[in-house]
Amino acid sequence: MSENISLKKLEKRAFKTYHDDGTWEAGVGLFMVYMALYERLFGTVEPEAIRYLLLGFGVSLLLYAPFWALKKYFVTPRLGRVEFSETRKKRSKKAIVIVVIAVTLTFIPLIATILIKNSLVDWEGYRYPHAAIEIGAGIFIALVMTLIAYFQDFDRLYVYGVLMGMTMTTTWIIEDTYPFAIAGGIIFATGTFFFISFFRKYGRSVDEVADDHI
Amino acid sequence: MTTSSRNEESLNPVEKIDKLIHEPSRLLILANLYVVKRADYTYMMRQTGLSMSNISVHLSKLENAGFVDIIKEFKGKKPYTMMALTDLGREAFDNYRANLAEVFEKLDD
Repeated sequence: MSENISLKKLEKRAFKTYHDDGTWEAGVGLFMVYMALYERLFGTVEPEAIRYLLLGFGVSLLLYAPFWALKKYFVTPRLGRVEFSETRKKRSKKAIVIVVIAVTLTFIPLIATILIKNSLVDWEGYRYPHAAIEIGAGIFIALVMTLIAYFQDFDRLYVYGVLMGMTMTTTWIIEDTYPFAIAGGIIFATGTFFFISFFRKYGRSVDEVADDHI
Repeated sequence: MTTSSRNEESLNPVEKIDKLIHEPSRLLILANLYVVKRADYTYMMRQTGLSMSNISVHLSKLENAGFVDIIKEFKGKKPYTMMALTDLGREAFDNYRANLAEVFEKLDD
């Protein structure tokens, strides 16, 4: 009997359970849809600080907050508390390192824009073809998400990574945010589907199922 | 070699199997604890499909054998009961797996 119990699969299954509720995806998807529509909704609001900080960043956080609360107060109590092994923690740390490196690399052109005129994002005097940056950015995002998916054993993130990469490239090429809204909608819908599945499986509180007999 | 002596030889690995671990529910509990550092009752219930009372009964036996530690702690004012495999429990589970592999290897076709 124990010959057929793969401990590696057991551990992976247990860890994946903590991603299968869909709340993260639903929150990120909604965030993407909002960011895609935000310029259309508030593009003329002045001053810029209010527009970017409050209506952009602030509202995005407010939109994600319910999903964070759902995860903390509904999902986690129904899944139970677990402390994963050191091996798993090391894998998760690698994913964090990738995110830090990716964010740092992304900020370099942004800082260049601020400090140096005629920088990468100033199209005049631009040294490289536009397409190289647009396609490169898309590939970069897809690659980062793929690595995070690998270290977090989050299979759907492979697909989201490719989707986000394609979205980034398309958005820059057509100079419109519709691809962002569509991708966000797909991710939100997927997250919602998984949350409904989770709710149907684990919707009853622990007290209600405590002494059900299998 | 006579049939009876051949059968005696092949039965020995079976006798080494730890009967405490070999019970299906306890095996499930130990296997799930083996792959994590520690977990609570709710996690164990969700992963194994066993009821809370079932888990309690089996955990008592495993705790008495020294295979599992039951840790009561607080997060703020909320109490939590966590369970973790002891070093003895890990060793026993490793031995169990090795013994079972030996049993299957030595079974006659």
